[in-house]
Amino acid sequence: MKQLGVLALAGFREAIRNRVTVVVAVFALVLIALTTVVMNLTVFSLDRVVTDFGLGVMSLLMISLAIFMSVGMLNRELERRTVFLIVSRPLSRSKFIVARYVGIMVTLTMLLAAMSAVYATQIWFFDVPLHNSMPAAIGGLWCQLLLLSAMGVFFSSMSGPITAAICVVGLYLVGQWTADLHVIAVKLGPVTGAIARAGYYVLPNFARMDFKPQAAAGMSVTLGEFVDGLGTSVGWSLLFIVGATLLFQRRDFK
Amino acid sequence: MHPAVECEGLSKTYRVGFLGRKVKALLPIDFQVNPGEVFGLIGPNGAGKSTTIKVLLNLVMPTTGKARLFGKDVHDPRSRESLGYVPEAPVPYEHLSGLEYLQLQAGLAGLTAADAKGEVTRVLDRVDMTRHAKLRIRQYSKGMTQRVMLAGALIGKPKLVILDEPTSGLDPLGRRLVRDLILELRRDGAAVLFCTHIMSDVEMLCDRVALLIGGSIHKCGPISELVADTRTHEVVVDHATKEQVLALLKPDDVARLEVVAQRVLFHVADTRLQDVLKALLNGGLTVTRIQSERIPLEETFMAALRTSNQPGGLE
Repeated sequence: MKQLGVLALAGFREAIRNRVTVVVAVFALVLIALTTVVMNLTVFSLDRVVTDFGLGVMSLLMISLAIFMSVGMLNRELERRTVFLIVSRPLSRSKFIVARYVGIMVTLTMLLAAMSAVYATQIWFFDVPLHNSMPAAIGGLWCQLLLLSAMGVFFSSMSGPITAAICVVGLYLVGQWTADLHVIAVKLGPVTGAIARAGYYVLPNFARMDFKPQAAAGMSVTLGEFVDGLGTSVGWSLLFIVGATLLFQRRDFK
Repeated sequence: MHPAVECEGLSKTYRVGFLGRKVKALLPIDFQVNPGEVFGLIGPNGAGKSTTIKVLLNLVMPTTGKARLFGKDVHDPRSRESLGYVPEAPVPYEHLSGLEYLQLQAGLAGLTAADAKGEVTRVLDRVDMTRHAKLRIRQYSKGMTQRVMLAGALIGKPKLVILDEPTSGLDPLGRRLVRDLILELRRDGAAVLFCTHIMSDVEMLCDRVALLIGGSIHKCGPISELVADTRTHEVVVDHATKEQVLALLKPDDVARLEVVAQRVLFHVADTRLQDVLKALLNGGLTVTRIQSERIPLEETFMAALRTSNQPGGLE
């Protein structure tokens, strides 16, 4: 457990010292500056713009960062051969993968917390009424980051960063529309319908973790809906991380 | 007591390229390293030295055979509980300071916070890096980075230290430090396995050596054994002429013959020395000096390379 902690801390330090602080600062500035501009250009109400735009920018930045950090992590370790210095200690490879994953999640969580603080300040500043779907949307985003990072670690444990990034982005985009697959399956023939239906059940459903539409429309999110999204994320993440450790277990570090 | 390192029939075949072409990096090899022993792996580039080390560290899976550290299979993380390692041309976490890197290594070695603090201070002092400990590693010179890597390998007083080209690229002071550390580890009863291209280091430090060529062990044993079959002696015969000496000996027995001020100097192989001396003394000549000449390990290495048609990799 201690080894896991020190390794996760090292990963967090790396992220903080390399890029994360800059990203937070840039995000905060962009968010505050652009919301004012967008408010003057849009026909929608102030509440909706602040909520939708803020959550949208946060989501875009964090998801990009999660993919970037997770798909590159293992390859960076292998290229720089830093993995040699870690795996040569009494540490199993599965622990290494889990520690690195935890390190990424600690970084993303801290960053999400910082962004949420800026977002909350903005809501307070523009006097937007608070709604339970707003924290639910941020929680849902965290669930998406958990799953995306696990997917990134999984694909990077068996391929290069570009291939891994393509796979993660592809699965994320398909995962946004898996509900549509179920609808389409009804209208298609038996074979293609079965394939579409299988896709619905086999692919991770990211829409279950996305509460931004409810937040923008001022609708409530029930505890059941949130737990459903959290469960989907945790279940899929566990599967991907177990898969990554199995793949990484037999890999040669030339 | 278990040997520090045991390899039995260890081989490795890599699959490279899109079609998975097989490349044999290591043919079945057997060797062991005992506690308190300095063992050198030498050989040209591509001989399989680094692959052997990577198998021992569980970085590469062997194709056949077994590798054990202190009796435990290398797949078992507990086999690395008392291990220190310095890779060739290390590129550590450059965003960390030397101190943070060593704290990380102490944590991974399983030391408690209090033990880690004392141990980090000790190893920093040992490699003379206390003054620069708080600088980021990216600000270090190559020599300073190597010192910190060595310090990392010494954390937790390991019973086995594996060093891959530890003196490569270091200045004379750095080389001296590495040599001193290796001797110190041996004195403390630790085993040291290191591979290098610098033959003078091998001769100076190693108890035993394995000469790897083309993925297999060409020779293995104490340095004295490795060079014994190539040993020659310089023989000096006073008050004699070249013709007198040659008349008593077979032409193949004499090499590098010179005449200096009524003295005949020549070299004779170790295996022929007794016969040559008998012939000279029976012929009435006076042998005034016999100087044993050990051919350096480098010559043995080059001779082995020539016979195996492998390209050399000496510095």
